[in-house]
Amino acid sequence: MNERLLAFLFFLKWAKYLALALLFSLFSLQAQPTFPVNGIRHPETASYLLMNAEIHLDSGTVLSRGQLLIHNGIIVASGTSVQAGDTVVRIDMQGRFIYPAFVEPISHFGMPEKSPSPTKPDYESTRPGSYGWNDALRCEQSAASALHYSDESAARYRKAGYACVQTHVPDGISRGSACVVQLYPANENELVLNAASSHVLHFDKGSSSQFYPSSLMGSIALLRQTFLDGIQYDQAIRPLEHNLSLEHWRTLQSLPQLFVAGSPHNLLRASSLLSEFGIRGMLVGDGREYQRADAIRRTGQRIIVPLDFPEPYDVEDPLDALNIDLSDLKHWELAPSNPAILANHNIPFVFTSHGLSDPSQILTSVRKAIRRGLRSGLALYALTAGPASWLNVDRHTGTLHPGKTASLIVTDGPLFSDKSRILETWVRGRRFPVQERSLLPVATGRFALEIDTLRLHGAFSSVANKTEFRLLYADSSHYFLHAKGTGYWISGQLGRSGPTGPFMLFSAWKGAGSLWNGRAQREDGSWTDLILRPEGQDPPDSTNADSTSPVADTGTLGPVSFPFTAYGWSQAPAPEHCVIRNATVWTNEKEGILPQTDVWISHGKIRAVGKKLSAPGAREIDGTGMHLTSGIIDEHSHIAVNGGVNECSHSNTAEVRIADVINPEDINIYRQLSGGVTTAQVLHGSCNPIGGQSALIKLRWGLSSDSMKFEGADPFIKFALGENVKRSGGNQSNRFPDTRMGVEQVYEDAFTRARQYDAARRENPKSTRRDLQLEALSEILRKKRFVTCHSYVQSEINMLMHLAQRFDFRINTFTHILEGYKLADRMREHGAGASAFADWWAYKYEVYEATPYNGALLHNQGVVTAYNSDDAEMARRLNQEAAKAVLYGGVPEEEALKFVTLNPARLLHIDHRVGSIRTGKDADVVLWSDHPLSVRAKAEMTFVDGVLYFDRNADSGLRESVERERSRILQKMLRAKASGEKAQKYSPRRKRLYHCDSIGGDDAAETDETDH
Amino acid sequence: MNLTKYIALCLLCSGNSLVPFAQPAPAKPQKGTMAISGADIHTGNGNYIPSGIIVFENGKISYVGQDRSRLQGVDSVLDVPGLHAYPGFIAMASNLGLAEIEQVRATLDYRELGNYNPNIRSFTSFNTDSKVLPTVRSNGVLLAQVAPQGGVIPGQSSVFQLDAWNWEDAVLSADEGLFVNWPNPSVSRRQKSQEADPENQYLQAVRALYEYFDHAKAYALLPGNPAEVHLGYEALRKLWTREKTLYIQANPAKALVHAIQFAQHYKLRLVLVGASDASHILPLLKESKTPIVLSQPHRLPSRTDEAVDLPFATPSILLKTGIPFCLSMNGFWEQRNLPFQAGHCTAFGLDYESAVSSISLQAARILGIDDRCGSIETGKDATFFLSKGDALDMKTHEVTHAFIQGRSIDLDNKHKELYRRFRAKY
Repeated sequence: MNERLLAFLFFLKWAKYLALALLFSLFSLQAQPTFPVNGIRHPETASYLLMNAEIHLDSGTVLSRGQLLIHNGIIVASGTSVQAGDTVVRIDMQGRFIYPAFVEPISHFGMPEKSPSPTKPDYESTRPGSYGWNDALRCEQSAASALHYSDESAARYRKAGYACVQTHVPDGISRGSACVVQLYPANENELVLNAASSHVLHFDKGSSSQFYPSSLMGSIALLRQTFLDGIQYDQAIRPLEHNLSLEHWRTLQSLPQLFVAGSPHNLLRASSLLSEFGIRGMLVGDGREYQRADAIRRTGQRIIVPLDFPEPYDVEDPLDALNIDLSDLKHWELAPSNPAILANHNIPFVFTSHGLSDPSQILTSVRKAIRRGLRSGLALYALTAGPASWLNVDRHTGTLHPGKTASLIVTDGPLFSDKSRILETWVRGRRFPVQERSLLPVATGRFALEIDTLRLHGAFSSVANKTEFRLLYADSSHYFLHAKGTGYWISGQLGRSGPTGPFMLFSAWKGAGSLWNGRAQREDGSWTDLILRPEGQDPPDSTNADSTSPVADTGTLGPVSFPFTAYGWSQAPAPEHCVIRNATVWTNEKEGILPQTDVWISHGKIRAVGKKLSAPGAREIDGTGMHLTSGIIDEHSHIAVNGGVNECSHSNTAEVRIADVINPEDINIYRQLSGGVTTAQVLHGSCNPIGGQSALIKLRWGLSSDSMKFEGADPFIKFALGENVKRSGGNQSNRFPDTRMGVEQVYEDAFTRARQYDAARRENPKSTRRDLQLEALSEILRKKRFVTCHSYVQSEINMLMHLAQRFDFRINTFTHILEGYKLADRMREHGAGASAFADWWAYKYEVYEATPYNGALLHNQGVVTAYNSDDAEMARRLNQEAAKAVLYGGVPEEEALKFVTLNPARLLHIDHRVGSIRTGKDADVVLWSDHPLSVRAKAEMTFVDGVLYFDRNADSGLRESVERERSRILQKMLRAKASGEKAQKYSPRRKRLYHCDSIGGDDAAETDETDH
Repeated sequence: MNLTKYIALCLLCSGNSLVPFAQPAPAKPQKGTMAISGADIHTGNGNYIPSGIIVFENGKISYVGQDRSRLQGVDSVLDVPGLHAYPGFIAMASNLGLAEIEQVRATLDYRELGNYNPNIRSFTSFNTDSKVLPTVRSNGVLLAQVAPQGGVIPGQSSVFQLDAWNWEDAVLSADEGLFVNWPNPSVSRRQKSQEADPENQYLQAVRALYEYFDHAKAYALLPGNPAEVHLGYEALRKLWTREKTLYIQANPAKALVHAIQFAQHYKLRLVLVGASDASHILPLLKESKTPIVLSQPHRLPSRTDEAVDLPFATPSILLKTGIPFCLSMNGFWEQRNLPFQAGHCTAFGLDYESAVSSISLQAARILGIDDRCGSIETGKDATFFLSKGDALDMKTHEVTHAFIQGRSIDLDNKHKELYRRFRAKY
């Protein structure tokens, strides 16, 4: 009779278990029914009754002396009076605690080794098959088909308390489908709980040898287009091409979308992208979510949170400690608070051990988090039922209610108290000991060792599952003894101290009574008996005290500042209501420069300009002897960007958007505020003729990337000409174009296609594939998007103006434009503006004809002329660059200042909002210590929207608080290390400064290329 | 006064000539006596002489002061009331004359192959015909220390004046220093992930320097002529007698400490170049009396947490602590902005005359040529210039005349020529 039937009859005796028995019979189907067996089939029919334990069925239900009945891996009953016959193995779990086993949402368990990244990138895909064009889209990957069970890896997870993991192939921007796997040695077919549990996405392209995408914004653009292509595949793509990648992609869209995002800002980026397509997904963070908890809450996304809290840094050498950023110090202090902060913000989250060097560290981390205020019920949920439900395996696991798999952990104390240890992990009814000590008896107490005429005194101790017998102090000075073993058995050496060496080897074991017996062999080979005789109490058990309570856990914590760096705000700043009195006001209007004038600011706007203004309730600021100008506008900037400013891979990357990768944590925002900058156009680099879309930001230090964007501004795009797009500087010159002749044809081709695209979209919107690259170009044709073009020599400038005229649009701005002076008249006729460097030259061949008189010549010809930075350092002193228009060519001072204020505002179409001091305009103003064109002028106060984002007086206070906060945390780290915590060496993150020609992302290069 | 001479001089200097640009010819040696009268003189040694007089003869300054009687008998007098006079500014640790176009390899002569190149020297490669030089000196930078770059020991520097036919008449001090790039002790994350023990790599690199110097020193002590000549060790000879300066380029605090220990170990004449972390080790710098060629004020703070204006304020910190320093800048064409970098620091605690000194006399002292150059003082070379306004402020900077060793140099340059050409177009 088969086992199932037997079991069925067995359970039929208890009518009240009828329902359960039905359920059970569903689960007890033989594993792998389709597989032939080479030999005799040995079905597994294990039944257990776990008794007398404190059983946590889920995060809210506890049985204080509970029982669990398990049959064939499934929990069939739980309660305080579960009846079971003699055919079950009873395990007395007196004093033990039972919890559901953990579920790991992120792993690479059982996945193939990652292939190495390519050294030299290809333009085209090298894959065989009718896949899509980009190899970073690995939609066809399926973790279930790649799965190869590894018991070594499984054991590491089980030791940590995990019974199942979600795993995926860690390669590609689309990584295909993940699957959920149980962790016991068996055929993969039996292990897979959910064969397609989620679609995994990532910003990193992985092993693809293709150049595209080479930046974070490129990855985002590729994903955005692919989401669109998935939607329009049937109507607009399938009639023209079969695309296996997109077909897989569409299947994957029915799964939960799991985005391995990383930093808080990447998390927000991933969320925005998913939201564009109405997707609520799961996002994997990096443990810094608390730094932007509000913004993350607003996304409504679910977050998978890693718990790899940093170790303290080694700060004993103060010169080394200098290099540690305050943000890293603060993160060390606040990281354990992350889960509690997320919980307080009602952000749904679960835990992952991903990122920990060993998953078994997860409990230590969770306990730290609990000590920072995380409720333990929520912690248990985030380890068990939470991930189980997110991964759609909650039918099987995550709690210990009847019907679930018997995947549980047994501990020797409450799970989250420091000394508790996981003794066993059960995976689907299979019992895996974690601590041997729980299975074998443990020897304790003092004993006298009697051998021949010798009588020595010692004591047992146990470390983990090892038993050790050591001599007590009085004897250990004359004799040495090494004896170790497991359970009730030890072996070792006994000798007299000194040079004579060991004279006896022995083994000993516990007998039936309290005595231990053993055999010893003398040096001469003869044998003798020995006895261990109990005498007295256990010595205090020091070995069990693997205390995990970190010293640094108590006491005050620093605030979460915005941004999370030095000089960040602890409290959000509010717009000032103030009046600046008696300053010299550079209006940039027909009124010119007004001496001894007041400017009244309220609600973010300039409320009035005039003499002796009545401004009731306004804070009075004395501007006597000082100068007030509108804020500096940097037309060409590359600050505040994550993941690269160049998508260098293709000649035309109109689809990429700098707005996707704005980084509000960049300290250069604050530094530039200190130089009076209030607005910056953040541009794509100059790597390709058609670069990406620009982002215009106000330097609202501390706000989120979205809130920094200049509301309602016209969209711009970056073009580039000349040496950079020819890739003259590098050796990767296999990308078209290689000449200025080719550059023209790139545009000719792009705009010809854009024109056709526009017509086709109008005619057949459904069957014409929406192409974000062509869409951006057609916006230019429709005069909805405007061009800023990096340019140097006159021939190419002329070429582009002609080309634009052929396509009936206008080049808005030529940037760099160092030979603009040669055709200033032509530019004026075309209507192009100029945004140049004041005096740069000789850094490449195409600027050998540059002259610092360029600005004056352009200006005098009536071209709207600006000076820009393209450089994080220079942007702090653009007023000085403007002064060079006075030095070289004698531009009047009032006009020279406009080179960095009103003129860039005009070039950016924002002069109705900023660029001059006029009632009703944005209160983006700077109060200078001196004549603003003087080398001695310091920005004393910089307002954006009436908010005082930089105040030189407050700045000196901030410096002191940075110092105080640093030393407070450094002291804490020293104490942490002194108390035995492992300290790590700090290696500074090199902060990358981008220029036009910078290639690669934040970590791509040790030093910057300084090309422009 | 010789009126014709004056007019000719003005024409020459004003740069209004419509003659197409060729490299200006170096000026003829000064003959006889000449005087500048009525200028406000910033002497470079900290003094300021309003409405002063500078008399110079055969290239040397014979009088500086306010005594108008000294104009008697002077061959020509340039009466320039309201103009400012400054000593010729000195570009330090530059690659002027060794580079023409940064991205055109064929025009670059400052980085030799290999890591230990002490015998490499800038002296004979200094290109007096560089189109860059006239654009630099027309902003008052009249002298330059020119040094090779790259590797551990890039080679030897020389000091030149910027108006010459070739390196022979350009040189003021040949092979005066040896440049060393101190290894970088800070380990980036990238290195950390790539290399087994980057910290140890730093120590190894430092040890290699010690070993090189040990061998070179032993070599120098060999009696008589060495059987086998080692050009590298030969280049270090004058270091041991302190006739040659050791310029160590380093920025992180730790590297600065190690560099000072290194020089003390060998008892060398040390100058630190860069030293952006100087403010973190002030007591050591003061105690060891190490002069500093400070890296350019126009750089970003080295660390996120540092004060936003620390690079502008470092000169005044050094001045207050009593540490001798001069300013420097990166690059070659950029050197024309040297005066403005000094000017910018005056808004951050550096007094004006000290700012002038930090790009003139202080530099000359470090170079060991302060007996001849660096200030407007009697007995020194007549190397100075006149500006209509404050020369440290771009708003007022306007160089009208410049003299190198008394020679009135042509202030025209390629940029002015292009300006003339295109102003004429429109």
